[in-house]
Amino acid sequence: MARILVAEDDPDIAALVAHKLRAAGHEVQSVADGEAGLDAIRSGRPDLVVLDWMMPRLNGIEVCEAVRADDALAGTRILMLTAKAQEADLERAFAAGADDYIPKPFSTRELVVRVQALLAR
Amino acid sequence: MTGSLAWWLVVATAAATVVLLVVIGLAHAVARARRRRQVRTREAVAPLLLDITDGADVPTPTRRREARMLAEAAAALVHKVRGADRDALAAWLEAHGFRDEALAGLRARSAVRRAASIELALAIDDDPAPVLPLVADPHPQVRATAVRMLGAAGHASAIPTIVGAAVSPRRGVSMSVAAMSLVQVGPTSAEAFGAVWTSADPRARRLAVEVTGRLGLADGRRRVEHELGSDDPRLRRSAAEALARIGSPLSTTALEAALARAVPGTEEQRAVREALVTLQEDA
Repeated sequence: MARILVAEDDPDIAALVAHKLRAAGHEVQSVADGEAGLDAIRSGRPDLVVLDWMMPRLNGIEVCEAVRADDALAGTRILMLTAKAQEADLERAFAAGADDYIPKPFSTRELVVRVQALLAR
Repeated sequence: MTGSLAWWLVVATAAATVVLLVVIGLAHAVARARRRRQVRTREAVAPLLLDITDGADVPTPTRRREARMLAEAAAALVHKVRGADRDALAAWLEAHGFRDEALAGLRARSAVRRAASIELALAIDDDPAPVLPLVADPHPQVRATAVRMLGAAGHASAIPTIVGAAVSPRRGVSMSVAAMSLVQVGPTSAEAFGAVWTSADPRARRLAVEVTGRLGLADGRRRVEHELGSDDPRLRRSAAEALARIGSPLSTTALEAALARAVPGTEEQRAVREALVTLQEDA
């Protein structure tokens, strides 16, 4: 069982992702904006973060860069889940330090499989 | 007498102010109560929504408000997921009679009901045909909703209809709403624009050019280069900007020719020059 943070401002998607990850045996916490996400990462040290790109306060890229700039959070895996699906967006996400990237609309089965793969690294 | 009249005016104004404040307060209280009720209903149906994505046979809630809220939530979620979740949500909506309700709603006299039925109809049906006529609906909000939702549902077959709505002289939608919808459709080939490329209306071709550039559809490069020679200066400028986004060095010759033709000091010349710089930086 891993500790996972879901940072997503769409309540339907946040609830769905959290539900599927809990069903896969993980402990899940959800937050609805980037600032709360960064606070939760710093205080809770989750094993993995499912991170939306477009969120209020801090966007996903800013959160990702802040996590990568903090040595204490070096082991945090980041999976970006976003409606931004162009090649340039994907490049930007990986440049910011994301470990994986899933464009919306997405399959929760694929998301759970990718989460397991990231946690197994 | 004058003093008395002034006194009554003050009293009347004060009374009117009090009545107005009471009315405003009541309206706020009613709106708050309605929002709280919506939140409670939404919280009540949220677990059912998750059960549906798990493939459970969830009965339709007996309370009409909850049934409607669950259907709307399922319809909204359909466009955000794919695979088994999407199939389960669409199957539940159809099995519980919301398909017929949605199709009837598309023909309702109330514009609010027509608009609300669009998302539901597109959530259940893979065929966008019943929704396409609503992009020319008499009500502007219905037209905009139809165009937005066709984009969210990702129906490439609706692209010519969306472009048509953007350039329609009456009962159309704004270019920005159409452009956002087309980007959301997310065609993987510029050929999805079909006859739009040969439209006599430069605004239609500009929309195709801008979305092709925004999505970086490399197979549309030649069609976009062709528009550098258009009679319409805005289309020529959009073509240069799109070619910069597509980023193929093969466009250099066409852009150099466009730069030689461009009127000095214009936005078109600036766009062409910037496109050439972008291509050189990428090379």
